[in-house]
Amino acid sequence: MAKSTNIGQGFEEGTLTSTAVAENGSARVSTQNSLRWQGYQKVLFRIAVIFFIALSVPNNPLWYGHVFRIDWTNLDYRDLYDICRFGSGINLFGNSFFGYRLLGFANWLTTLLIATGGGLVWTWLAKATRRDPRSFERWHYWLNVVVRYRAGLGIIGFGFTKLLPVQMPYPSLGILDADYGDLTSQKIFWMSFGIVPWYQVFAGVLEVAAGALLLFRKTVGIGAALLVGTLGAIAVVNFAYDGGVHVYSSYFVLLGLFLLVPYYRPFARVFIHQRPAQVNLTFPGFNGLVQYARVAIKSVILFVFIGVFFYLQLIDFLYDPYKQPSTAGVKELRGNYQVTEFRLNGQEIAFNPLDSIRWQSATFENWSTLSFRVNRPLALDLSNGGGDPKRDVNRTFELSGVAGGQRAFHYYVDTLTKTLYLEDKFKLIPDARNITAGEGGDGGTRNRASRALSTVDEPAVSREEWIPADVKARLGNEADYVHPRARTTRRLREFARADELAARETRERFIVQYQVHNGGDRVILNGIDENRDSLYVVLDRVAKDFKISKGRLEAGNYH
Amino acid sequence: MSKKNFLIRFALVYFLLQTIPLQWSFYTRLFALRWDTFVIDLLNLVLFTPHFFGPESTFLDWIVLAVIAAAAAILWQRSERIKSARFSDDDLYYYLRVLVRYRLAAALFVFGFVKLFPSFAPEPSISHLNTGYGYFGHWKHFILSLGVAPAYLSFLGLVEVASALLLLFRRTAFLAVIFILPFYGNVFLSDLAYEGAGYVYSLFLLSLTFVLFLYDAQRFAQLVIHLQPTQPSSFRFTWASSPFRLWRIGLKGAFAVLFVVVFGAKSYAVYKHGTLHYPETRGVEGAAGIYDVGLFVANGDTIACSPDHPTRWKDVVFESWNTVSIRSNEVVLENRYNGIRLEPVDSLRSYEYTLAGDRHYYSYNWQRDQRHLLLQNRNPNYPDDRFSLNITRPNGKTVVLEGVDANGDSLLVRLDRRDKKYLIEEVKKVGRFTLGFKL
Repeated sequence: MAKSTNIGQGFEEGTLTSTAVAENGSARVSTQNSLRWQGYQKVLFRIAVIFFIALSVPNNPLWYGHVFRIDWTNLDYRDLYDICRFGSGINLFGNSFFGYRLLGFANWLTTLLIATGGGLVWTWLAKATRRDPRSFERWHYWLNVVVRYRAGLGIIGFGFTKLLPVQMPYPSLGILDADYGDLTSQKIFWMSFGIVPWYQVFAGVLEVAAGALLLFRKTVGIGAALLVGTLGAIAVVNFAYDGGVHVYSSYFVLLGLFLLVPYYRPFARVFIHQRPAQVNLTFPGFNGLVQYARVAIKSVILFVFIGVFFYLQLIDFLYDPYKQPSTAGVKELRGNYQVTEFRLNGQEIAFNPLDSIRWQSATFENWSTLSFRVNRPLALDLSNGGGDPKRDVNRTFELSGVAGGQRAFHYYVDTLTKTLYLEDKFKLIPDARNITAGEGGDGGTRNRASRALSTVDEPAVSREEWIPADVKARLGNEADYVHPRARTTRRLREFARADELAARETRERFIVQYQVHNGGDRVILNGIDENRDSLYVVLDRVAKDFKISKGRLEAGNYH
Repeated sequence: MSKKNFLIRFALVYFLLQTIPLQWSFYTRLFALRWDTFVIDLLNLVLFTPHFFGPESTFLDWIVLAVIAAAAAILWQRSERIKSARFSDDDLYYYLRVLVRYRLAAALFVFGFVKLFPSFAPEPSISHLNTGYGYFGHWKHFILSLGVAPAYLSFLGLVEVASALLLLFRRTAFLAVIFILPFYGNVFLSDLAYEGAGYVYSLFLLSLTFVLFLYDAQRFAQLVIHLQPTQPSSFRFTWASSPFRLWRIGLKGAFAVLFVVVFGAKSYAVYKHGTLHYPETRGVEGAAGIYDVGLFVANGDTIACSPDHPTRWKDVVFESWNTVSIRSNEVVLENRYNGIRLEPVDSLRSYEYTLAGDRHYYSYNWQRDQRHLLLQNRNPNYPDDRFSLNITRPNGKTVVLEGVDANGDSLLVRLDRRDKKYLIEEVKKVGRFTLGFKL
C-alpha cells in the first residue's frame, strides 16, 4: 500500500473557501482544502468504528463451529446461507438491556453504549499520548470495507432464497382450502408472496444486486440505497405483519444508512442547494502483491457467493425446496377430498360440521403429507415454518400459522402392503431455527422451551412399535429419497442423527392401509388412529372451484 | 434542428395530451363531483387518462397519442423555422417538468392519502375471513393482504405523500424522484404479478417520473457512481419574464389546498367514519357474524348436512352492512374485474364479491323492526338469484329465515351463531411465542 489518492479534494462542505458558481453556471472551485477532521468528528468516528465492527462480526460461538464443520466438497445452499447469516453485536450481557428486550433491539443499544465508552477512552488515550491523527481517511475506508462486505454478503444470502423462489412457497392444497381468517397475518403476507413466484424472483434479484453492488467501491452508493429501500420496506412489513425478522432487516437498513453517510451532503448540495460538490471518499492505492491478493480474494468471494451460491440454490429449488418436503407423495393420492364415510371402532359418525371427532375434509399433497381438518381446538405452531430441517417431517410450512382444525401428517409409504405410516408434523416444542442467527433469527425457541410444559403426554403409538423392522428395511434410507445432486453432506449428517433427534420429539402416530379406486377418485383408509382406535375412512376427490391462479415456477420435484 | 429540440416538443405535446382531459366522460364526472363523496370522485378524476378504445387506457392509446405528438412536434419545428422561436428549449423543458411534477403529485397525493389514512385496502369482511384461501383471485389476494396490515398501508401512503410534497418544489423534485422510481417500479411489477389492471396507469406514472429523472440523471451518475466533482444544473427559470407568472402562485396555492388540505382532511374522514369499498347501508341490527345452518328445510323436506349436497347451505354471514353471504357447494361465477374501481353508490360497489368464490353475496334493505328481507344476489352474473324471506330472531344467537327463492320453492332455515375466533385476531393478543396456544 503505497500512495493514497484523495479524489475528494476541494469539495468538502464547510472547507470550501469560496462560493464559486458563476451566473453562467460554470464553476470555479477552491482547491484550498485540508481534510482536517473536527474534534467531534473524530470522537463520533471512533465510536462508529467500535460499533459497526462489533455489529459486523459474528457473536455466537455456534457460528464459528458451524463454519468450521462445512464440507466444501459437497456443499448445501444452507452452508453458504449460514455463513451469511449470523447474530452480531456485543451480547456479553445477554439479549436484554437492563431487563428490557426492546423488541429485540436491546443488543444494538448495549453495543452502542459500549462503543461510546470505548470511543471516548480511545480519544482520551490518543490525546494523552499525542497520537491523534489529523484525519481518518484510511480508517474510514477500511471500516467501510468491513461494513460493505458484511452487508453485501448478508443480503446476498437472504436474496438467493427469493431469487430461486423457495422462501415463500406456493400454498399447499390443504391451505388453499383453509379459511382466510384461520391464518396469522404473517402467514398471509408470506403466502401473498408465494402465489406470485416471478415477483419473488424480482425481489431476490433486487437483494442480490444490492449485495453485489456493495462489493464494488463505485457502486456502493447505489447498492446501499437499494439496500435501504428494499430492506426498509421489509422491516416495515415485519413490524406490520408480525413477521419476526424485523431486527435482522432493520440491521441492513442501519448498515446501508451508514454506508450512505459520505453521500448525503454532496447530494443535498448539488440537487437541493444547487452548489457544486463531490463525494469525499478516499481509496488507498494498492501495489504489487497486495493488489494481486486483493483481486484474488475478491474473485473467490464473488465466485463462491454469486456463482456457487446460485448453483446450490438452484439445486435446492429443483429437488429439495427447504420449506417443503422433498419426497414425492403417492401419485394416485393427490388432491382435495371430502370425507364421505367415517367409522371409528366400527361406529359410523355421520357428517356434521360441528362434530369434533370426525374428519371434515382431507388433502393429500404432491409431497408426502396427508392433512385433514377437525372441528376442535388444536395446539398451534405459530412459527414461520422455515429454518433448515432436512427431514420432511420437520418441514412445517403447510401447518405453521394455520388454525381452523388443520392437522398435517407426514407419511412413509410401504407400496408393497399399501400402508401409510403417518406421523404428526406438529410438535409442541418446535426446533430452533437459524441457530447461528441470534436475535436476527427465529431463535426464540430456547426461550420458549424454558417455559415449556414440564410433561408432554406420551403418544399412544410409540416410535418403536410404529414401523415394523421388515418394513423399515424396505423403506430404505430417507436421506437417499432425494435426487442424488441434493444429497449434500449437511443432509447426510442430519440423517445420520435422525434417530437420535426423533427420539427427543413427541409426536402422534397412526397407521393406515389405503385402497385406491378409479385412479384416486375414491380412496379408502383403514387402520388404527393415534389413539389406537380402529379407523375406516372413505374419501372422495372433489374438484374445488378455486379462483386463485395455478402455481407457476413451483419448486421441488414430485414427478 | 437538433434531436433535443424535437424530443422536448414531442414530450411536451405528448404529456399535455396525456394530462389534459379531452373526453366528455371526464367532465361528466367533474360536474358530478360531490362533497360527501369527494374522495372517491377526486380519485376517479385523477385516475382518468385518455382512452379511445374502451373504458380504460391501453398501450394502444399511448401509441395514438405519441403519433399525434410526433406530428405536432414536426409542425412546431417547421413553424419555428419560418418565424423565430417564441420559447427557448430550456424554457420548454422547464414547462414540461412543471407539468409532469404536478400531474405526478396529484396522483401521489390521492393514492398516498387513502393509504396514509388506510382505506385504500379495507380490512377483510367477515365473509372474506370465512372464505377458503384458494377461492380468491390474485388481485384480490393483493388487496386483502394489504388490508390485514393497516400499519403497512400507512407506511406506503407516507412515502407517497412525502414524495408528492417534495415534488411541489423544484429543488426537492429530484429527491422525490429517488423515492418514486423504486416505489412505482415496485407498484408496476406487483400490478403485473397480481394480474391487476392498474399496470398501464402505474407505468404512466413511471413515465412521468422518468422525465424528471432524465433531467438530472447525468449529474447523479457523475456524483454518486463516478464520484467526480459535479456541477448543479445551471438553468434558472426567471418567472418574472414568463407569460405565466401571474398564474403561478394562484395555481400552486389552489393545487396545494385541494390536494393536501381538502383531500387530506376528507381522506381522514373516510378512514374514521366510512369505507371506499363496502356498502354503507346498515344491515340487520346486532346480527353481524357467522352462523351455522342448524336446520334446512326445502319444499318441506328437511335436508341433513352432507359434504356433497349441491345446494344445502353450509354457513351464512351477516355483515354489519346490508350484505348476507351464503356458502354452499354451488359454483360461483366470480366477477372478474381486477382494477381499482371506486363507486360512490352502494349498488355499484363490487369489492366484496369481486374475484371471490366459495360464497354468494346478497344485498337487502332493512329498517328497524322490519320482518321481511328481499335478498338479491349482488353479482351481476346472477341477476335472477333472489330470496324473499321473513326473518325472526327468537334470541340473540338464533336467526330463522322462512320464505321462497326465485323459483317459488319454499325454504325454512335456522341459523345458529358460531362463536368464531379468528387466528389473525387471537394471535395479536397472545403473541406468536406462546407455546401450545390452542385454537
